[in-house]
Amino acid sequence: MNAVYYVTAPSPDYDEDWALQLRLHEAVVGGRLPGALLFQENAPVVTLGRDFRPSSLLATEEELRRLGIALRAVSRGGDATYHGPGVLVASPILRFLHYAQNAHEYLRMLEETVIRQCEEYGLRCFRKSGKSGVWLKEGKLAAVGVAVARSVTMHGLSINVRPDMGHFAAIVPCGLSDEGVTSLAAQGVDVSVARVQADFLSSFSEVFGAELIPLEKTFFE
Amino acid sequence: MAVVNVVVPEYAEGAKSIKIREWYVEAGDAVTEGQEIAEAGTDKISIYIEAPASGKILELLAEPGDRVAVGQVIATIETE
Repeated sequence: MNAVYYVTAPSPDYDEDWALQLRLHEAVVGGRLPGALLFQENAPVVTLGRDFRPSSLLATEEELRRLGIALRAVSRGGDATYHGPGVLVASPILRFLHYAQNAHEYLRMLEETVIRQCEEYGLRCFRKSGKSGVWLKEGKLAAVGVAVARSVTMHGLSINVRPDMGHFAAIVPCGLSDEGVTSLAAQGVDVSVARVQADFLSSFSEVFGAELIPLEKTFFE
Repeated sequence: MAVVNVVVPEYAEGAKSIKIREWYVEAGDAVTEGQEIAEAGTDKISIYIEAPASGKILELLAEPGDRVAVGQVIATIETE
């Protein structure tokens, strides 16, 4: 069983978390870690992926600032998405070809992780043809977007646990103007982000066949 | 002296469409093995393509925005 070391970002600051992710990526590329899984729950931020279209951003930078939402261009694939309090972001930093035959199978495995975990909450999530992510009838529950550099993944997925849904009005999530967004709380599932993280770990272990081990705080010292 | 091909990685297989997004180098540039020289993308996946060998970029064979296929040669590197 492949070992994957997980860590919860200590800061809600997206830039600090990105710096941590890059360090973890470097550690996996360099062989100091077999694999890592970074969790973050950020202060409000809209991230623009590499497929961003200007029409997906509905608020001006000034309006976002007034709402207390930061704006960042990021290296993952995909369009605009929102992270904030109540959104769990999970970024597996893996030699993904140890787990999947190709990058698309890897994406499907990320989705499967959330689909299985949501069964525990009594939700029947599904995939939509041609639209990545994890869906419910009312809209998208989890968004995916990854990058592969030196055969090691970065970024991953975000699960809407109990965010301020009003913040999604600033964007056209993933550029899909005809689709809505939902959250576990909106579905009547009363769980904390910490609980969703713990359940994600169990589901990830099952889907990826990986042993999850907490990363020692002293790893980077 | 030999010529080494830069190809779209096999792990992008399964994508409906892969596009070159950006080149970080141009013809004539010196590169080292493992250096990121291009970014390609599929739906939801950014792919950073590395130089398979050290040398000089001989030719870029795809433009940003071009659709490319797995295994397609997108650049050549002249090695010493």
